[in-house]
Amino acid sequence: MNGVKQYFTNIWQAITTLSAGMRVTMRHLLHARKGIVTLQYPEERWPRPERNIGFPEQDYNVIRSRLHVDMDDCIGCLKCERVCPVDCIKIETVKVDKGVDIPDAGHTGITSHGTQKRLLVTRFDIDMTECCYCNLCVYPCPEECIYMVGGPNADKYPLDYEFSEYDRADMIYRFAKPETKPWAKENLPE
Amino acid sequence: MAKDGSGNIIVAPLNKLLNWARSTSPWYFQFGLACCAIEMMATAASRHDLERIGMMPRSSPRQADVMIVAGTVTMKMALRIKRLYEQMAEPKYVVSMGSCATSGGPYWQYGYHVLKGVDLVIPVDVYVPGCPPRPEQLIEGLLRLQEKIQKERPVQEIIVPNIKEILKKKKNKEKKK
Repeated sequence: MNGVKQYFTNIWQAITTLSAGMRVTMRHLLHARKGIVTLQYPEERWPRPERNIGFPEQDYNVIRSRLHVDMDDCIGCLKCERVCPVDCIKIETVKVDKGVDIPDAGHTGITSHGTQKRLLVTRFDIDMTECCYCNLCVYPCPEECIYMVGGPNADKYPLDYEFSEYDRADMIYRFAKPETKPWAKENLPE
Repeated sequence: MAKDGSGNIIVAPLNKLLNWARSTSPWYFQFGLACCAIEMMATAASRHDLERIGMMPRSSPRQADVMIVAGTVTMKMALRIKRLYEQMAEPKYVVSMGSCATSGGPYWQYGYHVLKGVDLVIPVDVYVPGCPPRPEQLIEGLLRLQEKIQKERPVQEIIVPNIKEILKKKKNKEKKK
């Protein structure tokens, strides 16, 4: 008889203690206002933080996202390739007439800064798997054509930093116009 | 079952069910190799909260579905990674997180001690860029992995061949008797 009584008290205790605990949980769920820190990621995003290094960001152009190159402005000076600490930028150029447009190769002779181009860039590959996002290639560029997207450059190119891929080769970004290489092979003697 | 492909109509909902179950609870294997591990911890913590998408850290490869290779894979660690990957139970997936794991990163040229990409050792499903990637980038990679899992057809590719093999073995046993 005692055992049966114990059995039912145990059940009763389980129900009451569980409901007391769940009541606390429910109260917290319904009245939680402060202290919710979770970011519902795909629906909402935080602004990407830009590093503060003591300069106004418009002058210094610092954000860590994907690299992008405006090929119409690139003069093929190789400064970014040389400064890259991990050598993830590969550039090949050929010599062409100074400041002359080549419509077949998609080449414009004069950049938006007014510089006359002497070289045609046939290859401009950035391997974003090797990039360490240090921004060092951005500073020496005389034409300001290589930059990290978004942030201070958002008016040139929208922010894009989530670009995971299923294939490693897809993460090599080829910025040189595809028609430049066949044009150079046809029209320029080796 | 007829072999004209009409069987797929029957198993399509089962595929969907399996894919839903697999993709919404990929428990990940908790191990970090370098600074990317800090970001992985941050992703699992309450700000970004990986449990939101059903991911829970497991400390044993036997219980894990996803291996997040977070950090520089040294030659010494590569052997261990391979072993740990082999210890994981099917279905298993690998996320290569950050530049170092994907291609050697800053060490790709002169790093005598670094494996040039973890895909030389184990098959990788998703490559997440960044050095290290922000938690948002990692979550986006994991959502991409979910998409990939949802495109699989586990019934046709795993279950049916396994059943056929089992039946074959049974027949062989009966013949021996």
